[in-house]
Amino acid sequence: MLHAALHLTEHTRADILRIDTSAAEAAEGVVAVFTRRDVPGTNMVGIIHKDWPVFIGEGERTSYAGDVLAIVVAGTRQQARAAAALVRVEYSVLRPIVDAEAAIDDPEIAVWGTDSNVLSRSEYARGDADAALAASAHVVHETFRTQRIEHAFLEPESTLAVPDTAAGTMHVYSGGQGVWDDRDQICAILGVATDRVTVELVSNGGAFGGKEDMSNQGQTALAAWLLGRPVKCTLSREESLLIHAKRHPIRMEYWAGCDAEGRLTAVKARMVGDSGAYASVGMKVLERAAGHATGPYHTPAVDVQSVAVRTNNPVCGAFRGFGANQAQFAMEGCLDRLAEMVGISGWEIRKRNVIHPGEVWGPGQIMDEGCAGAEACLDAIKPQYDAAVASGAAVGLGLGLKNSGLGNGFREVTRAVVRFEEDGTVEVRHGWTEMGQGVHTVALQVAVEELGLDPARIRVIVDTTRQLGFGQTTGSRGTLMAAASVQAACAEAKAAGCAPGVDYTGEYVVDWTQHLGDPDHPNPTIHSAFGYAAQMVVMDRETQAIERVVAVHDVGRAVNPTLCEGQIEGAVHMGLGYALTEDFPSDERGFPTNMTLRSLGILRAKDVPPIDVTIVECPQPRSPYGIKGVGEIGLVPTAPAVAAALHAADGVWRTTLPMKPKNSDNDD
Amino acid sequence: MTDTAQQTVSFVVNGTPVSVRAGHPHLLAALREELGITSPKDGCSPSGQCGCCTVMIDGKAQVSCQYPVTRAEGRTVTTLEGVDQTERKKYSDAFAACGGLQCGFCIPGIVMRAKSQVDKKGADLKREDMARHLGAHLCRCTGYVKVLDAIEAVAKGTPVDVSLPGGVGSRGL
Repeated sequence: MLHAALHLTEHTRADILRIDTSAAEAAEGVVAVFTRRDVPGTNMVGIIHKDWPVFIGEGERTSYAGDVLAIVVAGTRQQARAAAALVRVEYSVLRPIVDAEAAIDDPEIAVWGTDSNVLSRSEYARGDADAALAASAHVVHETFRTQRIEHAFLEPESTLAVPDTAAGTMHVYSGGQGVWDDRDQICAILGVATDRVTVELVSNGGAFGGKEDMSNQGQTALAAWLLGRPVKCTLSREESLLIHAKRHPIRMEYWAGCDAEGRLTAVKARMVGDSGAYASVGMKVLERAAGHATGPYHTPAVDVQSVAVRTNNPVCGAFRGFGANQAQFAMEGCLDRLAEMVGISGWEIRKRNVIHPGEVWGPGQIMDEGCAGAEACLDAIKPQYDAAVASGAAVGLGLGLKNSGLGNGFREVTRAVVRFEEDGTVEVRHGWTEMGQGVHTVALQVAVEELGLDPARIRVIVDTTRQLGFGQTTGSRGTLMAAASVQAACAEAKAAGCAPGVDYTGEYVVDWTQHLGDPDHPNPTIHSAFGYAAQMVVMDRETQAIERVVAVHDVGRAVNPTLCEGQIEGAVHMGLGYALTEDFPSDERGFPTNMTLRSLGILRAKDVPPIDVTIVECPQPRSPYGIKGVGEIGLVPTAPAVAAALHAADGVWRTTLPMKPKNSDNDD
Repeated sequence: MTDTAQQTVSFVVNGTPVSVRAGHPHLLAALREELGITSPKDGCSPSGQCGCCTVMIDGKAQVSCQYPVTRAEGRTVTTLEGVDQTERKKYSDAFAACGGLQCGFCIPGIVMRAKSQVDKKGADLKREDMARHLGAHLCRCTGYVKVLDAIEAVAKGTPVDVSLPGGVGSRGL
């Protein structure tokens, strides 16, 4: 097995005049160095837009700090990394475009190969928001800013590609979140049909959305293919920080109005997200932020626009919450300000506005019975809320929702195979990525539920030898989709008597959603399911230390309550960091400035307050077992609840994340 | 100038005497790449900020990517592979039963740190103290809640339920 290391760009926006690999090629242990000119197929990949270059070559242009110029292959990882530093590049450095709002009107194009600095726009409107605001008893007008965040999954990205030269095929071990997408992109790079490459999922050490785009799979697969030898490439932490997509920083200007009793009359929002260089799923994040702009509340009039802007800053893409965190930080902040104007509590204003089944929500969706979970969470947290307020603590409450599934008109397909082997074991194959959330456990539990199997007999596998996967494990849909497809496969098996040696395949399709802002659909079903959560932060008035967090979550049906709690606890930890300590800024050159794990501000164990989790089950119609989803929602209401608690403690309304306590010693 | 590629460093790993090349950037690299001992994980080498590579050296928990190979000369190194099987099973059972792991990448390092505290204090180990000792460790999945539950269970000798999961709604892992 050989080892590979990447040479990354020194400039975020620069023309590449020359790449000199001679010193690297001559270094100890080096077998080969590959660059742009070695790519036989396409050099442009991407999960949606094919705008992300595998390599930047001579005569081409870089667009962000994670651009790859060469891959060096050697006998050991140490040799490869030492040699990668010897690649010499001549640049003609250009002006990095790093201000998102300015970039919209900048005459220069930030990202090579694109024709606009506007990646996407999303918008919808119902009623006359301006008129409703003008006629409202109370109006809040505030601009909120949230920060870029790094996923910091503990396992850096790693790929192993093993070619079979005789057969003309290759087996790639990938820690990505969508092995079918990895396979298709790798085959496009190599210029071969998709049946020539098998990608096998390696259960990976955390992802949170940061492993949806390929990181080093393309370059590593190419190197192995061209050499006819196995090649492994593992990123350093610094490379991981530079390469993979981050959480979007979003600037949100909000107007929210209510009547004298605190009932919302209108919400208007204008959002600008810095999406960094390549598309990734940036347009979808800003679409999601727009869709979730009004939180889980009934709003008679609404006017929302969001823009994703291309810059030379770090690429932004999928990260747990996917725009819903940012939007709901703003919406919850507006609601709390309105509550103060009206003279009612944070709980009371939410009770008066929470969405109910049959009501029109946000982009126009008529909510189904599943949305009863929103009020159920709010009611369930009330006793603890009242007790905390009565105790004299500073209390903050957040109520949030998050879609499960991509929705927005996507045809979402999930398949699974159940296969009985002669030796008495049972293979359960599904299409989703195990990254610590326990989707393999969910698949196993459904097989036990449907077939009455002994769990010790079951083996769960994910690889592309069967066409089971369609897209990324994302959007809080892993449990729902895996459970549905395994349930369907078990039904096939039962109908046929569970004969050994046969692939019993089941399929589940979600195809009843529509796009937001579509004039043909005034009441679109944007998402097939939502999860709901109420979170309360109890804070010491004097020290502003958080004493505890209470999280009440409606997950539809908890397939495994221990795993659900774990998701929620982990997400609250992330949400507290998002609220108070985490940041991933970049400088005027477009380079990230927090380049160590410690500098990211992730909370350590001693800084995490007790987290009290309660699971509520309001079944989701048309969903297997009533399942909703829980992967992302755990950090949606957290920052809003912290903001409200801080305000209760010191009277200061905060608009920018991360937030500082009033008596903090830290400089801003 | 010394040719470090010629030099070797000798120490005991998990009860076995070994000699490794002195030229590894740190002990973690020697363990993983030369000796094939892969339970200590590389989350951020050489910065030593995540704790995933924590091993025990002469009975003390150490971040092995911050430990020069040459300093290991003559010492006793223990990784999870070298922990007595019965004892290791106590940890794996507790972590499984309590849901103390999700992706699992940080766990070998955390277990070595926990072991160093449990060995010293046993049932007297307080949760808040263990939380402080986890200061060298990052976990992005669990929020540390069930990690501390699991360590508490081991320290106190609390029996845990390690049944495999059943059907929909069961808690087993």
